[in-house]
Amino acid sequence: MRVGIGYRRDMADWNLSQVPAAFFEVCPENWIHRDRSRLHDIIAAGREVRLHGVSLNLGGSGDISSEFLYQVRDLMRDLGTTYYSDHLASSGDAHQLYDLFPIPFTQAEAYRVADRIARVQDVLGFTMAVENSTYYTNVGDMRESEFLQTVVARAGCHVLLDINNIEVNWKNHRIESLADYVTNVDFSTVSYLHVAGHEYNPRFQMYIDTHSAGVDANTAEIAKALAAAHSKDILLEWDHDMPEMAVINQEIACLTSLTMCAA
Amino acid sequence: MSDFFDYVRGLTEVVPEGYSPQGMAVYRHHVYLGPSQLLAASYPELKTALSEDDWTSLMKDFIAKTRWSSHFYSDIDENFKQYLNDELNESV
Repeated sequence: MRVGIGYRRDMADWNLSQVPAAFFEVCPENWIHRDRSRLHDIIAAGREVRLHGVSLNLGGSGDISSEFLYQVRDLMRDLGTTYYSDHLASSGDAHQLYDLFPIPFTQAEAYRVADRIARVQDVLGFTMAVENSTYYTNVGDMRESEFLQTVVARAGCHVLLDINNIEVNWKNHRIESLADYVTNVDFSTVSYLHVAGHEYNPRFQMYIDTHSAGVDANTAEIAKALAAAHSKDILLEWDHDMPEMAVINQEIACLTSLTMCAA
Repeated sequence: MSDFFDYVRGLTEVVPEGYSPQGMAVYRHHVYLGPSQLLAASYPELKTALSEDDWTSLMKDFIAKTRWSSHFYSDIDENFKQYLNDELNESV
């Protein structure tokens, strides 16, 4: 089991040799048109860079651009990675709204989205992963874990299992606890795990997946246990209000060690 | 899903059937916040020149009307320029 960190622009002046991450993850949309020397430096120093996208709109209704997929494929070749994922969510209707919106948890939607994922994989020529997302309200008659498994089985894709998202959805909706959810996951399809922090927002009276805080202790312990049991890597996402390097390093150390993490 | 996206764009105040008002408010807020922060950073003079209410109205109108298609978030800048041009042409 190895622990990685999402690379963010705030880390541009960090000495990354001091960050004990086994691998990094970047958003392809941020790098397709930009100078990649920073990423090549990471790779040259012996650490892998994986791709995790945000704009594929797998749940939406607009055509998925083959041109964009070719750009992703070229980026993967350039970085020498076989990992590419995006969210099991919509980015908008036929258009981009640059957020992640829920796909109704129904069998018809699971099949429709699975067929879109299969088309993406046909264009890319390899298997991608989809991440289970947070949702703040949704409709449908299936449990989220059942919906996820239905999509994955039909599309023949992998799962990027986000443990924090399952916890946020449980706190907001009280439908599937983290313990229940993971018993319904086929770990042979899981590429690796995501963890992140979330926060309660009193205005909306909901927990929001902010990625701007440390990982909840319960989330961290369950992620570590699952990673150990199924030999999966863990990636820490911290996207906003980036703290100093020491805090990130402490979070990585906590996820790497077998001892309990401080909350 | 068009009623869902009409709501998050602010085109209707009718919460789509089956969804919670609370959750829909989160989505509408997120859709407003991202472009608003990005454009405030790209156009600081415009942001300063407008009152808070006028800026909010401008952002809401922009979000309601535009049909973004780019995979690249920063292209909102170009979309906003196009929107301003369209609005000016319409008002002439």
